[in-house]
Amino acid sequence: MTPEDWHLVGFTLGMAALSTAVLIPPGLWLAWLLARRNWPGKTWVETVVALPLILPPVATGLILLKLFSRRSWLGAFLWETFGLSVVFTWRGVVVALALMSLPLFVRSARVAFAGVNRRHEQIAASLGATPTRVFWTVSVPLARRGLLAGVLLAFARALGEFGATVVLAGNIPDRTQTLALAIYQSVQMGDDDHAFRLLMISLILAFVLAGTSEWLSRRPDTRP
Amino acid sequence: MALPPPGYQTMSLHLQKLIARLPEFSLELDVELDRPMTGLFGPSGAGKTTLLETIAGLRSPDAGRIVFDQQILADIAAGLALPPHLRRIGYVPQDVALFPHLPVRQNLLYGWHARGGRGRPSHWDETIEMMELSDLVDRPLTGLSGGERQRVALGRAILSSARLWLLDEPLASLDHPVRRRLLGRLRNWVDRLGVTAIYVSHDPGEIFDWCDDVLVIETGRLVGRGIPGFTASLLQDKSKLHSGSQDRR
Repeated sequence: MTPEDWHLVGFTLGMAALSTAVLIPPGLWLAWLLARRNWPGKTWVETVVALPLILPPVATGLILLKLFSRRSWLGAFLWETFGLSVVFTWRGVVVALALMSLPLFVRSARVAFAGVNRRHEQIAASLGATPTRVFWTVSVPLARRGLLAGVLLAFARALGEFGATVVLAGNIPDRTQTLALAIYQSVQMGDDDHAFRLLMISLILAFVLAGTSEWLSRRPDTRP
Repeated sequence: MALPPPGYQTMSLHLQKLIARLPEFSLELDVELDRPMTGLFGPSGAGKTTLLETIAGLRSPDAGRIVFDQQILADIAAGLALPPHLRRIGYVPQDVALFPHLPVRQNLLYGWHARGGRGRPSHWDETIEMMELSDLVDRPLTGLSGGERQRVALGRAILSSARLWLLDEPLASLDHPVRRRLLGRLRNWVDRLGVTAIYVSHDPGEIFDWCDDVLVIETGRLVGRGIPGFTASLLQDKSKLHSGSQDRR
């Protein structure tokens, strides 16, 4: 492993962690709404959330590129108001990874919330807990295993993301290049040794994360 | 029967033309409860739990009003329904529903903290002693017996600074002597804290000994009401009770 490889691994892990952290708050809220509430347009929202799973990642990346380019309303707003550029920056990497991982987290969290006995939430409310307090002190702790499995899945998905990232953030070494993009670049340049080295790293990371997620979802809960 | 202290002001609970439709029948009540502790008696499936859940706000009535201590908890015609967390109720459900992820102490303090209390309430020590929870407070929930769980659930409601206690067979899993002992203490607490309580039990003796008022409901209808002695005689005459309920259908 060269220092460049270590930097690449660190950058990829950091971007995956940051994107997971970014998606957790809206993902939790969305998953809870989908599991516990009925509202007009729920099916539409469910479909939109699932889109990144179904669309080719490159297509999702193209949508993001159009959305965040400075010629778009959102891109122009971010640039003129905050001086923030998303396209071809590390922010673009975070946005692409978060969006591509969101469906996996929401699906996992939704199942976890649906599995929480409503009775406990009701009793908490009858004892004076506001809906927010019920959420944080009853729903989330009781759904914790499914939520954690969702976090790990989302993180693992972010580690391997390619299509949306390359379109939105590009493949710029030391700036936006992640493990997946570096493997692609090495293969394209005929540097098989480097590609296989990075492949092994990706494989180990993916194996550990998928295994941990599976173990969490199957492990019997020791609490009553 | 324990009497309220002099000058004691009872908070009244008014169920005005309350209707809650169930798959088998409708719960229909129009009563005012103005005594500190009201016993709710009736066969299984009579609608007792439905009534408590409706008062607690966990189930929406189909019609009518619920007014407690001059505060409207629900008024279907006006489209009002106070959320459960604002009703200041301490509900002990039949299934206990302790929070499985919290140890006993945190379960006991849940309502107190949820209603803005800090640390422990002033009546913590007395409540722990009264409900005989001293040995349980620092234990995890794992391994508690049914009776111990019920005592924790009751303690949780008592410590929640509620104004209205809804107690759905809260001591059913306990031995008879322990149940009577705890019920006597519970009744004293009702008077000392100045709360209003509705106590559901299948044991008429408990209700007649400790409650000031008794409601007898069957298939969602009030079939008997009165001071415990009068209602006891009514209940002893089963044929009278059943014919009364049939007359109302």
